[in-house]
Amino acid sequence: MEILDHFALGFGVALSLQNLAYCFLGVLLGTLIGVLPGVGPLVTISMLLPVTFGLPPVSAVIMLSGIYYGAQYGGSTTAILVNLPGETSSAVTCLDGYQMARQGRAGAALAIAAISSFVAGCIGTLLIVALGVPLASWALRFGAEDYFALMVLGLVAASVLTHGDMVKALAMVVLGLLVGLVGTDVNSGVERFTFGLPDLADGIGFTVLAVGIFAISEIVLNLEQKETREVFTKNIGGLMPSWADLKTAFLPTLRGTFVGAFFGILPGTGPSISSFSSYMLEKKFARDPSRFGKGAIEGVAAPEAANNAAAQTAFIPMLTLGIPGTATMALILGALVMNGVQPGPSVMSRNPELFWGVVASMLIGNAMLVALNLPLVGLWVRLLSIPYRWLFPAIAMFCALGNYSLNNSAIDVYLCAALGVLGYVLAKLKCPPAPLVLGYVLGPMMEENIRRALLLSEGDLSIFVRSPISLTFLTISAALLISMVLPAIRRGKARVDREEAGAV
Amino acid sequence: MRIVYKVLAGLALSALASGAQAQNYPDKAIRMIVPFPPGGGTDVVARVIAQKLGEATGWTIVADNKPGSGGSVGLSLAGKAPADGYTIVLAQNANLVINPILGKANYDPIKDFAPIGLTASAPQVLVVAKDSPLKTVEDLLAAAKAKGGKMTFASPGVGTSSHLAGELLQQLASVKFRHVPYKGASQALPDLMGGRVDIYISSVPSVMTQVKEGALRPIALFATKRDADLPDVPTFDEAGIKNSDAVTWWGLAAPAGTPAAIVARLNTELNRVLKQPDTQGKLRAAGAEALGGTAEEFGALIKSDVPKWTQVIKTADVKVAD
Repeated sequence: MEILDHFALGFGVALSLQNLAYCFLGVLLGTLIGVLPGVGPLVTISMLLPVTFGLPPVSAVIMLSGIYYGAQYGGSTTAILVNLPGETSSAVTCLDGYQMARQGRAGAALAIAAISSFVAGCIGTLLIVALGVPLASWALRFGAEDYFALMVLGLVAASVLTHGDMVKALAMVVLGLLVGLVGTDVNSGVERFTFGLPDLADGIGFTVLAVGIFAISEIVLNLEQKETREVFTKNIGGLMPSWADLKTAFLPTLRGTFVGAFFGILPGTGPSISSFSSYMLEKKFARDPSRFGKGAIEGVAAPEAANNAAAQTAFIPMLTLGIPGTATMALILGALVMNGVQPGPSVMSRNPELFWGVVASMLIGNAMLVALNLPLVGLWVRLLSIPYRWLFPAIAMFCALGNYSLNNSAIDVYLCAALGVLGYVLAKLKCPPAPLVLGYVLGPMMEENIRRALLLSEGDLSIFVRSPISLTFLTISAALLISMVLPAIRRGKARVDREEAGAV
Repeated sequence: MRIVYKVLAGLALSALASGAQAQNYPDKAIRMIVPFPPGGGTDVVARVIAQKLGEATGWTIVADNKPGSGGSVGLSLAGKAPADGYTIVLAQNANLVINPILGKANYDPIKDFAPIGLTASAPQVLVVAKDSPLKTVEDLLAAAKAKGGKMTFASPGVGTSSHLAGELLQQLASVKFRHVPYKGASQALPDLMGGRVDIYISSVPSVMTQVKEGALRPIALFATKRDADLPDVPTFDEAGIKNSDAVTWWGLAAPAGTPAAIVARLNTELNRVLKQPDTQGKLRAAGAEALGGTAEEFGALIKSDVPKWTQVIKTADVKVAD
């Protein structure tokens, strides 16, 4: 019952009026910046970091972490309403969330996103408490070969993402890989596809790509057809999800939570991959995978749960090993160190008030986020009745602002516009955008890790089967491939048999 | 005669004008270009200096993050900015000196910039995992020789100061490591702690947490003297490897051609704030040590760093641009 005492201590700290106020301020700011594309928690936290020096360390960390996980809630809002991913991790939510909105179910989609985020946030927080230290040391066992095998599994599983034309989907994955290659090669330092432009040396940002492909191209597509707008506003439907919706979303939320928690612990993977993976997993589990991409509620619940769980468990390597998995975590780590708190396996015993106070504030903060977001649903949905001639320029302006703020550079705005044109052309050619984004995310990581694995093994390929973790992932990938190919072969064989029988 | 007179008059006028310019300086906000994104080491140093300079003088100094290409984007912008004293840049040896040698930048560290003053420095340290058999510099070099070039050396990236410090060590101690570049510390540290790479070289702040926890053991510093935060860790110099200094330094610079009076004024104010205990404490918290000195001293450092790193990069055959 020691853990109850710890929680009592934690809530004692987190429920003080001052800390409640900082928690609320953090999650409110997080929600707001989450809604804006480009303006993410990284920029916000770095701006606020100097301000927090005057605060007690607990209050500072409570507020900064509130911004971080709050942003994951806000990011889904614009993804659902206008196909504009507010945060990188909510790009996947565009796929089904926006379709739900088009069918007049924006309210249900927003509410499900908030509820599944809440569930995942709470479970993720409990994981930090219960298994933080063992999970972190487990994550240390992942070598380059294991990351590579994990990415292979991701790409193989991605083939279930596709519906319709397999060739187009593969072409999109390859295009995504190529876009991902732009920038400086990690192993040699050589610049690729940068055309001598220093602005491209760090690659094309995820926000620039996602906003261009999803939001800008959607605006252009809408401009050419006048009728869709009526469908959009006429039938907004119930604001809250039905009981059936909740039941459908229940298991996907749990699965999404565990997928997200898994990726959150591994440094360097992060919320984007976790939301993609959980989406693919749901599609694999679904009785009718063809509903995905056409407004399936599981396609909103699972990735939203995953990115929130990942945001929560990303604290595990940071708090217990001092290893920040993302740039934002590095900032929060900096805030801790500057406030005299030394992260590490013994952080729980050395700074119990801070550790348990922050953990308790995460539970409180997640509850605040639901309380904040559910009533806002009605307001957000009413945004959809704004005439297009006002809404579109506003969206385009926010996209431009967000992209500019990434590097304070106009190049990103132009790039986003160009990618918007590309997105429009691809939509016209009926090429799915999701495999492109996935190839972009996984490709560079795959390359980096396979080259590093081979560098460390002196070119010995057996490293991929000698590591038990890598072997497991590769075996699952092979099994998945066989399970997909076998029915096709059998069908093909049956047809040949029939033809032969017919010939006779 | 008339021409000479005209030239002289012109020179006098322009001297007067620049004098007047320096006297009213600054009559608007000064932009301090920070060539890295918000949150990193350079950003923290820049924001402390901008804030303290502003407080000490009443000037408005705006820190403007222009990240990209390892700092080359920001430095290039600063080098091309009008030389009127309203654009300054917080440069680092990695971007001001090393990027041009690597062919990653289109500016010249000596011709395109007017040094204002050295601001701060942070040492680099070689660390191993806590269960590594290596304890001293002698262990390290003996093991490296025994392994015959197979000892793996992780760095936060190709062409970074840490990578070049590793190359410098190999050249000075006549050993060979196998370089394994990462994208920063977040992926290199798990591999080091998990025993998949043998050694890691990094700036002190990014491994301080693990060193304090005992998860990593520092072997030696690439510095001329010991670090206040790691008083028990020797320098490579002490261990007999001379001229192994490879600190990361930050310095304030302006575009070449900025009036000397303005540079002098900025240098005076910079040195004033660098002597304040509060400035020193804030820099210390970020892992950097406040420095200072004249603009000429800073210029001399840049001039001596260029041939030193050119030599290291040539010998190691580090290529990043083609």
